[in-house]
Amino acid sequence: MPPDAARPLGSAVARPPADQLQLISFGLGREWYAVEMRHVRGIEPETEITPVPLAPAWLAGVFNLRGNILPAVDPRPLLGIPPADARSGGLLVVFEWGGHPSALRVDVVDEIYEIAASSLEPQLSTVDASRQQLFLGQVRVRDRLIGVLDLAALMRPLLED
Amino acid sequence: MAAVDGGSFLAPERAEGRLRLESPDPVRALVVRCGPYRLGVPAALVRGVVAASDIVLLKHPDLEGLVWWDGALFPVTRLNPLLGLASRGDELRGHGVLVHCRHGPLCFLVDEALDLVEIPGDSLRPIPSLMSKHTGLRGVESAVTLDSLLLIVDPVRLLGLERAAHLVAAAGEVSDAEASRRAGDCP
Repeated sequence: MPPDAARPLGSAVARPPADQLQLISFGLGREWYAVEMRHVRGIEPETEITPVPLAPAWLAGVFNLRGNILPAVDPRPLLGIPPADARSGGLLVVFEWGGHPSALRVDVVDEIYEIAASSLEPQLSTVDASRQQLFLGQVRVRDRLIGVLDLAALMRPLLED
Repeated sequence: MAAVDGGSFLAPERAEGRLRLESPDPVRALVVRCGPYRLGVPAALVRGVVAASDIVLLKHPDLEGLVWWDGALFPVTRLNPLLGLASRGDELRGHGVLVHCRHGPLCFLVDEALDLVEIPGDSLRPIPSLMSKHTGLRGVESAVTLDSLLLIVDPVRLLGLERAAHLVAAAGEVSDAEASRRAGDCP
């Protein structure tokens, strides 16, 4: 399937064939990113995130999700996106990686797409090398270029001893 | 009164004065503010709270100051640098939180002591292990839900027992030196 033919799935999510990727896209500032839907457990409105001492900038803090305390990862510093001026109405994309539930702090969630795995393009070489490793690749959907984040790479610093 | 030691203050085994996760019993915590952080110190660890104005400022490489309270000499150290916050110079402001560790008494200077709250035991939650592992934080072991999340902090574990022992020893040396000086002044 050519990338432009990727179709939004709305809320009806079924397991894709092996050669397909289900992506959920979200906005951070003016840019669009996505992660694989298979890791995502839900979308939550951003509740109060409690900052944790000594946490790096990309670890926004912890929040209470129905009685469980989860870490909130802010991908902006990792992706070189300046902090939002005034955050309001953001969303938390709750995901699970390596048995650890966590959440990505995003501005807005867009759509769920199913694309052919082969339609993933490598990131532009102009992207900083240290940031390139955070991506599985990029995909063009309609007129929008979406960077597909590699949750494993994103979570690596958090999981490393 | 419970003394802080090197183990977890949320250890599953029952120990007097320690918080215990998912305990049915309510626990009390002294809520303090350090910069942007609002933290809870288990009341079982706290001997008292003094105003910063009660602290005698010292020009000492290790000690911020000393404070006498209830017949004991408490060496003073700031909590903010242990949380990665900049210290605010020589001025002493806020409150001193007095605790006891196995090496002796300690006073932690905070920006503000806010409140003493009672927390239902079943609202205690562990913070994600990923978080404590990554930040290298010692002594921040749980968060609870009141009107918002409150991180529960053991200030002695944040400081480290070795440094705590060093501070207590330094306070003793200062006290001994002062006693000797006074004795020398006497005819």
